[in-house]
Amino acid sequence: MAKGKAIDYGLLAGSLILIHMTIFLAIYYVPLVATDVSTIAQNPNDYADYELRVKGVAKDLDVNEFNLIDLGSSDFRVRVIHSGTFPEGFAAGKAVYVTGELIDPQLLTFRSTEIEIAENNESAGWIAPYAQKIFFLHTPSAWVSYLAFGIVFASSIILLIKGGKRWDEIARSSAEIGVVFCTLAILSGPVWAKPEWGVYWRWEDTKLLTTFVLWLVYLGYNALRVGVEREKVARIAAVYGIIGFVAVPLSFVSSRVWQSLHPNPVGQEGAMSLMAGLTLIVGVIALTLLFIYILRKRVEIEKFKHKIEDLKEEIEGGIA
Amino acid sequence: MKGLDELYVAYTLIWLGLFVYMVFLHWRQSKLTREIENLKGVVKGHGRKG
Repeated sequence: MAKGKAIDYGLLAGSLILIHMTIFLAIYYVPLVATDVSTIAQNPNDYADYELRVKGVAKDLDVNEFNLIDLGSSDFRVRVIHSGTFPEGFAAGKAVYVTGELIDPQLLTFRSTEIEIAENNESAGWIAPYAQKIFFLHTPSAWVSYLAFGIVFASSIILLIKGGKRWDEIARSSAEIGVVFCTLAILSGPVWAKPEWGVYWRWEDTKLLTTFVLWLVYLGYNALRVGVEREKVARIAAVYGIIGFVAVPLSFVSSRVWQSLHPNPVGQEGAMSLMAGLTLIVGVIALTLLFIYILRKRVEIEKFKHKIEDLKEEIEGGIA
Repeated sequence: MKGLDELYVAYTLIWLGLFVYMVFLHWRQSKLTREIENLKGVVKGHGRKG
């Protein structure tokens, strides 16, 4: 077996094993962290004359009124009645203490008098704790798309400095794969958001918006290259690849710099259990190996295209 | 079991997405390989005529 083939099979097998290990660990070993507001919600009349202290996950918090929606036998969600800006430090999944009074026991509607956001990344848990485990493939997908666009950026710089088909092949291939992984991250996010936030998408969320812009930027990069002669567009695409990379750090830091409902546990001490951290690392390694495998195959396709162009030129030259 | 269905939907989505893309790449590669073989045949034919 050729050395290249052996590397390809090794990468594919390794990544597939690790992807399944990630899913297995996420489902069976990562502990569930669920919110608990059910005690109050089960007996609202008992609390009518008292101030309520609700520990739970809220969607918006700059509100005066909110209610608890029955989501099943024991799950309740704090729902916003008046939307507004988010208090500083608020993120989905973070513990929130809302003190308020019951104004309608039938509708489980409360008026808040105090909103407190937990410090030190204390997690209140998740409304849909199983859905939260989507994180272990959603985040690695996003990471691989950042890596792929980073490779487009680096290859584009080298192409402009040194020239050569090779760097254009790598940039073009990496951009296509990056869009595939970015699409998977963008599609898997809303599957989590629906049970957790109650909506599939929030345009006002900076993380979601900047990632969508990132996806559009590299979709544009790929569109630029469709049906246009390679030599003509290679340098223009390289400039696009360099400028477009601005969207990557923007997407990455958006939930850290601006207020966002998007959870942001990576890199925050105490935000994840040891098992969750390990599972995430396995997921990242798995999808990175798969990315390397796909990149090798995709670059090979670009080489084949070059070969076809050369053969066609040879034939045209022969006829002439 | 809140969110379990969504978990399976998302994992299936990611799995299928990657699988379909890899099958697509394989198909593209096979198509190009066939085209190269055809073109090589044409080049050889021209060589004989020459």
